[in-house]
Amino acid sequence: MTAGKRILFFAPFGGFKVHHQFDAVVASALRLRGCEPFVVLCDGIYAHCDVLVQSGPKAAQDCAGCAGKGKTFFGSFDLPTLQLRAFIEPNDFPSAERWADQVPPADYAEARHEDLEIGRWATSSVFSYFRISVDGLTRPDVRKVHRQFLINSLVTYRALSRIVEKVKPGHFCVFNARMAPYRVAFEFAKKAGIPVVTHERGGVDDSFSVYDDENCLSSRPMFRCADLWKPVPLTREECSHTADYLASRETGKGINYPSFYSYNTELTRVRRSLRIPESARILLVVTSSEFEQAYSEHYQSNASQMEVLDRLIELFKGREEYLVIRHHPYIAGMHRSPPDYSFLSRAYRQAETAPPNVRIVMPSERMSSYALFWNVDACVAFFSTAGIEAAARGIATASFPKAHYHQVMTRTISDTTLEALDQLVSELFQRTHTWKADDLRPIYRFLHAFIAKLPRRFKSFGIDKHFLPQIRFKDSSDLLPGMDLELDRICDHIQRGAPLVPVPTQEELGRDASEESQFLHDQWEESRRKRSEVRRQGERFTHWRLTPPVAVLRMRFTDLPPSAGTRLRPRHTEVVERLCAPTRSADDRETLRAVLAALEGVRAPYVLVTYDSILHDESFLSSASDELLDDSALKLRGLFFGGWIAPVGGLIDRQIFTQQAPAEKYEEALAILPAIRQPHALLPFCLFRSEALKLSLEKALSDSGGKAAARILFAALHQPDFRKTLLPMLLITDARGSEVH
Amino acid sequence: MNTPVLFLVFRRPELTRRVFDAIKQARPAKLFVAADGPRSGTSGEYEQCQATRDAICGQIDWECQVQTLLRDKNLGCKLAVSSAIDWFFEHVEEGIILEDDCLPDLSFFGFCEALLDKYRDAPEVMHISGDNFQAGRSRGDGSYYGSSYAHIWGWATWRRAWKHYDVGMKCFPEFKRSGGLERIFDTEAERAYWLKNLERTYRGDVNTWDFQWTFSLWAHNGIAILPNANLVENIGFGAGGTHTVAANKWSPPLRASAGPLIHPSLLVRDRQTDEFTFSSGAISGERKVTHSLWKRLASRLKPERFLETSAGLAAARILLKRNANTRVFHALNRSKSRHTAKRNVDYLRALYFQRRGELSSAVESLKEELRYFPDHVEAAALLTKLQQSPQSVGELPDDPEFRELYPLVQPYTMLSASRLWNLFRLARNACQQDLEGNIVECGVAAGGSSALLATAIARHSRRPRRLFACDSFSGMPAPTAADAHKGLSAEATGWGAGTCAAPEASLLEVCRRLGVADFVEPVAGFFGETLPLNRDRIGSIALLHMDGDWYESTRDILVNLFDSVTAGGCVQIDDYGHWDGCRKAVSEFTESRGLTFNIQPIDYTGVWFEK
Repeated sequence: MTAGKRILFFAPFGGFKVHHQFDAVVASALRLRGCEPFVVLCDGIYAHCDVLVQSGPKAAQDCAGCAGKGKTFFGSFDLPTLQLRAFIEPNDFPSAERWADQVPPADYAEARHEDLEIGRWATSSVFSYFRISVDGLTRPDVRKVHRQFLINSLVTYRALSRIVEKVKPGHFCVFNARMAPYRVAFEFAKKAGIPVVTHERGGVDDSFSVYDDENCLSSRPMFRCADLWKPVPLTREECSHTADYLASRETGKGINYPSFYSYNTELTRVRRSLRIPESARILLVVTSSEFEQAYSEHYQSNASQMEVLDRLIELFKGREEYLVIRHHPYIAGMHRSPPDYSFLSRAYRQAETAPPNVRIVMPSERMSSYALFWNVDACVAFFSTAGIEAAARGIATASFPKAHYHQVMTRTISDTTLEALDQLVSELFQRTHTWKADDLRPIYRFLHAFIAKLPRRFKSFGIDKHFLPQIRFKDSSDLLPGMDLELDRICDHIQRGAPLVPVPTQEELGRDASEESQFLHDQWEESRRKRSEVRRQGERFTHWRLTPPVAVLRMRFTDLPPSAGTRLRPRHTEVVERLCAPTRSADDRETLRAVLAALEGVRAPYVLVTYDSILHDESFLSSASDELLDDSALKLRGLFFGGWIAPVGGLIDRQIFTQQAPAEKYEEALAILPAIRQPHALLPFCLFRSEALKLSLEKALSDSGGKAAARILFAALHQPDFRKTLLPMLLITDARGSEVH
Repeated sequence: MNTPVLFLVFRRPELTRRVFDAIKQARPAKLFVAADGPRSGTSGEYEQCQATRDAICGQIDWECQVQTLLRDKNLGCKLAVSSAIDWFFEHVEEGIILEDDCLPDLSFFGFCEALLDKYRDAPEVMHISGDNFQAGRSRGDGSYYGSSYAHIWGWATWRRAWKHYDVGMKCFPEFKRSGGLERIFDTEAERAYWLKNLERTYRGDVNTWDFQWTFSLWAHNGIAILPNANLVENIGFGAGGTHTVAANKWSPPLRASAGPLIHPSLLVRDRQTDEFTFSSGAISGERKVTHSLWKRLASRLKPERFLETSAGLAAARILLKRNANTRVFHALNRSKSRHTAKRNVDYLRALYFQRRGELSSAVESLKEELRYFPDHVEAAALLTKLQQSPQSVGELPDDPEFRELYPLVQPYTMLSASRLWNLFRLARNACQQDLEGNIVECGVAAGGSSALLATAIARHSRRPRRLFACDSFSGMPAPTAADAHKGLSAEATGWGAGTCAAPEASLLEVCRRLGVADFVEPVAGFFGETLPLNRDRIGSIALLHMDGDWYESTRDILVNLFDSVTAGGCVQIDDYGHWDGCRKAVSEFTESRGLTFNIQPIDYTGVWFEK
């Protein structure tokens, strides 16, 4: 025992109480065990930091609030605290700024100060701050913040060196070791030869991952844990626990984080929704948000997801199977997290040139990866945990070599040439076909290690509702040795170097595998039965399904040169195109009348009005017509979608009629997309029932009081019988910023 | 259940769900589903069709081989159904067929399965139905009986029978030429109805499939089996129906087949029951014609002409059973004014009176119906029902002779017992007192009072004497404006022109029954025409019975016959209290002659006086 060992708990983000409760409780427990903990706090020294990502003009207020929360929280544990500011000298910021000025912006990510890799330490936070990948680092607004993160990191390093000099800690305890100041502390400790415990939220509810000298994104602790338990057969109970975990993930539960989406996709509707024949073989590719890969060198790969996708799309031009690319919903942004516009722009470019047997599920399309697993024949999941989940359901899966679970993948993607990918795809299809119950064994053992051995669940504290700390101990006696065994494990590790992960006993290593084999056999049979049943019922569902025709009125102004080809790439098969050709000089009302005239004689139940400058998602017509078809009470007159907006030749830079930009008032919408001052520019956002479009147009034309037709139409389309999906499902090329062509 | 089931659906999800739930209970090992497609341009039909399919797809939770014929486009009732049944019998030898609005009792399936098995090798049996329209009557000695009617609200058949189906009815002309309908039906109404509908179907005027199937049965001398309990209820009446758009007044409620299946000792077509089925409206009431009849009546398209068709009468029956439909009643009255007896017209008038609570009028109407159409089973039944409380013998005068005669003549007269008694009394007195002159009755109707008067002559006259029975024998002439009752015109009361009709045969029949026909001399025609011509032949009159109802008729009687009434002779006026016109004619006549009579009341309307 190292009596009186000093432990530095680095906790500048006082508002991160879920994480810093770990520091506070462990520090308190160590104090009870004779150690001397102290906590390093921040009272607002950073102009930009991870806490203030979404603060905007409230940054100062949020910063003060964060500092106050930290002070109060740790004060309630009566732990000794140090403020970083007290260890910053007057010249620290000016000199750091001078250093930053010398770094070319293009080199920020690799910026070094003497032997300190400040650029590497700070850039991860920049990626997550803006939800960008490497491409985004060139943006001026990103560079401005990036520079500030470099400065902050250097100043933090210097301050830490003074603190360490003063208190001489024997151990560091640091949250995640990824976000800029924490990464600096982590790197400082490593450089100084001081052991570090890092912690993050764990992979299962109410748990924490606790690593030894590792960044929280590092795969090594997982690999070590998996290797440790790899030889141990699972008991029936452990197998069940693992299966339950997989099942709970499927419903968005048990993952210690809110689900990215709340919708459920009926398994039997998947192929119909995709409009892929029941008999076709499908390779599913599941993408992840690129910023998540960008912010850790542990994930870096020879090729990006998009590069591999480009090649796969090319490859499938010559293959008979289907390729389904499912982009992660988070890419479209969520709550207040912005979309990854760069990724989206590339995804739309891919969509425009993809062959018919490539189906791209855009982030806004309501299609869960879990539902897809039961309908596909092979899978590629570059980094996503979807990979191991697909494999656990008997789907041969490949991942990038640095994925956490690559050890148990059928294949890893190291060679990304067309020839190699061709071979990989064929092998994956073949392997699924020959999959056996025994193939589940390494996957289950790996998963069990991941959910039962790696994460720590404490008796004395935990996580409530994903984001709230939960202090469970009543008084300090509850933190004494023997009261919370997991807390003991952490303290023992810090004090005596005891292992953080349980080590298999001889008895465990000598277990008979028959229970495990029987369970996996049963599980495999059940999985096969379910897959077969899903396919059978899916086939039946598709067979019983009507495909109503959709009339597509293509607006083409007669005094504009025709655009090359159509931009509609619908999965819906029953499409009847009609040309609507008003003159360019036609006023709003004349144009609407032209649409009305084009509508005459339309017998299709649903109508879409579109332009050459608009690219509707390939699922737009199919998903919208499916929903209208299911509305047997005819409560809906149409479905109103949102859209992405991009300047000609540029990346997507805006969105409209979405969760993040609902634009519920006409003026708000006009500010985002000036083109909608022309009423007909509103029409492509909606799939109408034919008679509803007619009525809406007549209503817009009926006003003789001078109220703009666009306003009337806008109001009409915002009535409750037009369901506002808030899902961006079309891409508008904003040609001249004001008019749709 | 091993018998395959064909389920025919279109666009009614709720009904489909209910019927499918019933099929689920039977758990057929083979299920065939045929769905017609949506009509393009019909708002909401894609959604309704899809919801209908969804009501089945995914709900098949028993071990079952499913085959489907799901149309993307609409074929219409005729082709969608007939081609679906063709398709069904391409796959199976025999099976049960249910449409989306035919809700079967669970016993229906067992009923069909057992009879499909029993009559598999009996080619004359072509159809097994779950429908019963017998209003609770059991037919034959088994659980089912034979019929010409192939009701299709839940049925079963064999491939061997369906092979005779021809949607184009190619052999219909030959069938018609060779008297096919005459062989099958005994009544003109049935023949007319079916001829019309089969011709329309043959011409393609009707978008249906089932008349062709019925025709196939008839063309091949087939027998349909109908159960003695209704095993299938049509739940599809209403706005969503293709043919059954009106509210349900047709499909009887569901009744499970009670007890074990009893096979009849002889399976032949029960023609009498079929006629009942037809006349009760079940045939015309089935989906084919109801809607169009309804519309035609509602559109005032000369309803009295429409009522001259059997189909029109069937529709009128529907309306009158539902409520006292005045417009239909007037149409019936106008039909009466044509003085040509039409089956059902008085029966339907009786239904009208019954609905209005005018039971005596209902009774008289039923009697009229039965005078011309004594085989009218329903009229007879209703009359029996309405006469369940006949006037008790105790209310009759204590005269044994009259008591003896009354029950014999009562069915043939509209006169009350009081008026009949007074009439008989006056006639007997005249005979006993040996007054000079014949007896004359103006307004005979069915002849009951005439027979009574003739009996008085036969039994009591001391001299040769005759009864002159004067009537048009085709109902009353048109009333005038003077002919009203309590402010209501005669026509409005339902007793206008053409009413109170009875054939001369009715008079002779009752007189023959009483053995007095030789004393009776009918004088047929309206009074204004016949009385001047027969006045001399009639000679002096000992008793004059004036039952002409109307002003003009009463006037004609008085002008032509009053002077012939012997002094001391009597005159009885039947309608003096009821009809204003009658009273006015008497008043005008007495005033014009300066006469004064001691008018004696008999009841609320009848009076008499001595000259």
